[in-house]
Amino acid sequence: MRFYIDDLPVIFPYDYVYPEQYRYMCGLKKSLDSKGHCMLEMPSGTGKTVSLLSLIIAYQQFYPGRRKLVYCSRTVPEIDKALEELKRLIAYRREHGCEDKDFLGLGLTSRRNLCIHDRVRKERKGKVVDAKCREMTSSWVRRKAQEEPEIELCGFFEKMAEVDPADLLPSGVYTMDDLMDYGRDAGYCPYYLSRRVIPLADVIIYSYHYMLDPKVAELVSKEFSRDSIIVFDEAHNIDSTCIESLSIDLTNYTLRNSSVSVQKLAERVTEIKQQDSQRLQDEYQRLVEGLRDASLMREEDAVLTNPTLPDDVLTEAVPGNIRRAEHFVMFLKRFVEYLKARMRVMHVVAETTPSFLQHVREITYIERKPLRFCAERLASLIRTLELTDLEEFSSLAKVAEFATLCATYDTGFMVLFEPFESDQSTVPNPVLHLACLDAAIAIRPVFQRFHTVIITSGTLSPMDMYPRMLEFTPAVQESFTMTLARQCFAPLVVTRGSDQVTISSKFEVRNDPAVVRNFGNLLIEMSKSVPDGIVAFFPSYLYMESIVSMWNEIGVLRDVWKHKLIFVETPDAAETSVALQNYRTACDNGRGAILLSVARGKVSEGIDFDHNYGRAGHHYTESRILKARLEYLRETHQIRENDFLTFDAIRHASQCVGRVLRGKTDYGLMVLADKRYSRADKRSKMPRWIQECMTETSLNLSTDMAVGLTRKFLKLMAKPFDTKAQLGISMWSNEHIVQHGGRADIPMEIGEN
Amino acid sequence: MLLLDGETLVHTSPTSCSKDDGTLYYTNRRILWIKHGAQTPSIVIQHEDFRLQQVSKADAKKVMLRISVMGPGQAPSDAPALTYTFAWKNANKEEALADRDKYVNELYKITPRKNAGGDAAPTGTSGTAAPSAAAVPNGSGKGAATMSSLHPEFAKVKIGTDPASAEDIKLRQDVLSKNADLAKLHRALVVSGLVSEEEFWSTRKHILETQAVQSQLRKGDSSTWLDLAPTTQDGGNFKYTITPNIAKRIFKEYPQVKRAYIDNVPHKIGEKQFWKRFLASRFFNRNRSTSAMKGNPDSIFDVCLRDEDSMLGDPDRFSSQFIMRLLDLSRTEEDSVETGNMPDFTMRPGRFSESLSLIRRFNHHSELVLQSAIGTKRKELSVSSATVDRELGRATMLPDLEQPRAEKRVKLNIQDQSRYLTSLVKGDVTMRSSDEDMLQQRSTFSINFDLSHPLSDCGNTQRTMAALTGSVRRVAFKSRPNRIKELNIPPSLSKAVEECYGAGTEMLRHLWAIMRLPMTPEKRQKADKITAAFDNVHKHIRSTITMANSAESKNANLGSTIEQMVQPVIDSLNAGKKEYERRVHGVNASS
Repeated sequence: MRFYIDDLPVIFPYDYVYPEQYRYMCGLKKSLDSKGHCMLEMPSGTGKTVSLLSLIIAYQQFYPGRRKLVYCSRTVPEIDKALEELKRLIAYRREHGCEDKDFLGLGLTSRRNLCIHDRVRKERKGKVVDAKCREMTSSWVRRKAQEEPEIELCGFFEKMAEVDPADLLPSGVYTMDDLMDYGRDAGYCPYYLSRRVIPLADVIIYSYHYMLDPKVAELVSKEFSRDSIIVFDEAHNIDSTCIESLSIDLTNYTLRNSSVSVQKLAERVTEIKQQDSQRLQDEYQRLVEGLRDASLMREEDAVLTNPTLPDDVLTEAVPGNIRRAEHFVMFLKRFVEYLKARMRVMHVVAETTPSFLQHVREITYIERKPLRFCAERLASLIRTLELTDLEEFSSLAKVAEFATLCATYDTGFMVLFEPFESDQSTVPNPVLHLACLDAAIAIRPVFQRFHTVIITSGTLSPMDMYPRMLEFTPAVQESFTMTLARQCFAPLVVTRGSDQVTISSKFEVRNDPAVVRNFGNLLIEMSKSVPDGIVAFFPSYLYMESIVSMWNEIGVLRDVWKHKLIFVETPDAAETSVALQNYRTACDNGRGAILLSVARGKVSEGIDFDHNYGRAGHHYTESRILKARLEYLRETHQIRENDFLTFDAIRHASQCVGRVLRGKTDYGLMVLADKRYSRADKRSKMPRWIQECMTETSLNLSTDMAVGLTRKFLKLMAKPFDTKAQLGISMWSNEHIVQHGGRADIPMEIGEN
Repeated sequence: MLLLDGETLVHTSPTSCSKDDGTLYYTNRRILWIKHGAQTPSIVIQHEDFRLQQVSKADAKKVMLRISVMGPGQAPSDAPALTYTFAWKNANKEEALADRDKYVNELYKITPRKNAGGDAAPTGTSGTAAPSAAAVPNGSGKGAATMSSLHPEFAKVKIGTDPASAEDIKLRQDVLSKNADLAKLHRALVVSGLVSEEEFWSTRKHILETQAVQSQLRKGDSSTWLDLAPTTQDGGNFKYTITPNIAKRIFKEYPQVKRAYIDNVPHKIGEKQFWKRFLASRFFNRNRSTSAMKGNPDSIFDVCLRDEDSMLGDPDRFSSQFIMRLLDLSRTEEDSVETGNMPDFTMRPGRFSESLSLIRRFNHHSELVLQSAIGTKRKELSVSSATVDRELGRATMLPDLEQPRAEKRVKLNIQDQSRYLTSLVKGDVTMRSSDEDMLQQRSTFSINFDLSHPLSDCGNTQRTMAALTGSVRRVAFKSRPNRIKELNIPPSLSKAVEECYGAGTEMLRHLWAIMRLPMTPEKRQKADKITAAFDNVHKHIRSTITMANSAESKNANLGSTIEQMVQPVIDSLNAGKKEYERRVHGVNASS
């Protein structure tokens, strides 16, 4: 269909549009016009991605300037799905007379997911693939290979290197598989191909890290122009990603590896010194001159700034005491030894970064300034020494980054030392955390650099939380509810078991046998009355594992086995994927299954359970890092601890239950099994579209009442539902858009001739 | 127990069969076994089906008799498919032996002799007879081959199609064994040679198709988790019972145990010892509630434990080519370098190896059950871009928003529309006329309540009353269940009439089915054959009437009753034939 938002013709690749999709596009258009950031919440399963793409592509192609779209998603399957939607959209646009000349859309991902080299792609781990690839493609290896032909190079890479980027890839939209197929046909390396055509692409889809993690952003996202449109989809967790990208853990293992690496560096330096001392001399000269190029580009506003490389570092030359390679190696050695000494402490230490630096200076006489240059200096040295196996130096790089971050930021970070894993354990397993507390640090460059940053998800409530946490001012901030012709999902809050014992996953009571049994009974009852699939989310891995073995012991699972198969999330990603796949097969062939998984785990983050049903619980963690972050939030953003905790828990819970639906003829149940959900203050933190469906009758249920409601609901939903009933209410055609004050082409009836 | 016509009881004795108590009967036609308290026999063996008997030795503890029987649909030359073992309940062994010998002697008489059997029952491999020979309904009690030899004319009626495959025959047998009415009809029509086997089924394809689907449905394995619960005995001892069935399940669930069993039993340790050690081992007792019993280290089962852990934890089991792209979580995991703080200990999976192995076993068990249900192992997924695209498309499309596409419809092919409409109009006219009838009828019921008239003039009323009682009688007569019985028709005769009807209907079914479609030479040939077969039916009808005339019955005019009864068949057959001839000649005349 084709309609207009203001003067912009939008081509939408379906025959109808949901009203909330239309409104969503209007909101989006407003923020693009105003060149401001925006925050939009729209219910899961109502076609957010397709609305987003339709509008932005229409905008991009209609107005001059052709603003590039950078679309960030959470997981690779989601990137794939977004690419597929884009492909469909472009095909549909072409059918409807839009040329979209030279349109190029593609996704970026790691070598591990794209490699087509026969030997390398067999590797399972991303790091190994990276290392093996670099062994064949880095510039000095290739230079060397010209003299020594026995060195193996990657044919795909070599063939591509000779071609001009503009001729590499014909226009079109490429999913990951399309890209690999093209690479195989043309003999080009898909990984490097995708990176090389970034400047030419109209739409780029990749995961958050490529934008937020300074290490990666430096490589791929630096040169996007200011008026690019940045979208963070499924962004309810964006603050965690920001924080993660700047947090570092050091363990004994990391430090041991670092020592080895330092030793290697030292050997290499002496070796190079004998062979080719000129090279080191050149590097020295460069360092004296400072990182002038970088600072020049930043002034000209050409690149995305890097939070690990603050402005003042660029204007200054690298301090004298680490300029020489051998000095820097000694310096690193000293710092690593210091950290090792810190690891021997047997009690918890939490301190700010200035106090940590103070301590460093007292013990080792290492000043703040050289520490700040540490990461940059190490990168330079590795380049100079022409080392290919970066994996070998990853531990050392981590230490260097740790040093740089500590020395750069006085606030927003905390150094925390934990000698034991948990309070109960007695075997020391010391970890030195550098915890980023302020999500704004990582995302600030993005907000500053780009005019329009769109943050969108199914669950962003309460919406005032994000602008405060991420320190930005949205120009448009809206939450859309779901228009429904029939109540197709039912949130049920179960607060007690059939024996009236309160159930809650509250930390204090959740291991109580009565509570465990009641959770188990709920599961049994649900497995009896719900057809096909049930997904149950637990608050944490620890809790899930302990409750599964408890259920097994008290015989709860014996009853569940009679009705459904049981699949459980495991630590290994591939193993879990297989379990998931089996789960889907079991649902498809009518056997029915239960999937037990964790609310913040791998499964809840990227897999949709449409046509199925999820049950969720939630809890509060007791981690020290979280405590520190809470304190920080209170002091700097005036967000109360309890508010944040509730917000954090609720957003995960609602994310879990929100995975149930896809489209409006689908239906699902959501059972929130926790006393706390019946409280109004908790409930008000849920997204509006879920809240609206919560009725008084479904708020304070016992297990048997919930089962009764479930049966009733499922019987009602199982009736065939005529989509025509939705038309005009929860689904608009062009006529309805006009009725609601919009502008659209109303197709003329063309008689058959 | 219900004996058949002409059946006499020869021997009875209390026996047990597969652990149930009951009584064994030997009659002159069958061998029956009825469970105690049951009304109907649970085992029925026709003498014809009996193949072989075996007896326990005289000095054996129990007195037993084993009877091997030909399975349904089996050719007589095959090895017997079913065996039943009966054990005598009589405590006195001498008596029991004597009792059994009676059976042995009787059975000896009916044991098929190899040489003699060869002539009596040709194996029926000779061309046309083959498909029909095997398609004998279950329990019809007649040897398959005898049937075709009894009705040689049957082969002539057969209308040329390929001989049915073995599966088809199996399907037909299954259908007939399930549906008694159909079996009866089949017997009456096909076995008696009125309709060919192929013809009979050609109009009942849907039944066969349904049966084919149903026969493919298999009940999957039970999904229940293997859970051995001990029974508590006096003195607080536990007792586990391991039956061969349970052992089988253990082996299936834990292939390691199976391997250990094969390796160790019986040459190293006895079976009993093996299970004893199994139950005491750590392997068995992990994840069990009684924390007091954590199991003892055991050289055999500790190996199993290790094997299982390494089997379940083996990363090669989850190679990425088995995983759908959209569900492959490792692609996300390997998408970017690890960042961030380690999650706190509650969010770190797999910290307790015990619950991890339990979880893994759950997944494994579910997968096994699922595979047994689908019947396939995990498949390597084709990674061609087409399948991936389809998968992605399915995951991203919102079908709600698509306008429902009109379903494909087949146009009703009416050759002559005007005729179609005129016939409708005609129908209307007849309807109206029947309405008039109704009015007339009703007018007879209307009573003129004019009290001024003298009562003597009530002829109208009397007529009305007569009509009313007459209709009541008609209704009563119609609804009377045993009307046939009152006519005193002997059972053999009524069966013959039924057959006439069945055969006639069947023939007409085929004929009209052919006539409905445009005529082709083959069709015509077929139709000609069918009309030719009408003569068979007519012959049958005539013989039925003669039979009726000659039969002795209380009903004096039985012959005419029967004649009346079969008249509609004759009429419709004639009508069918006439119509067919009219059409054929019409076509001939026009061409």
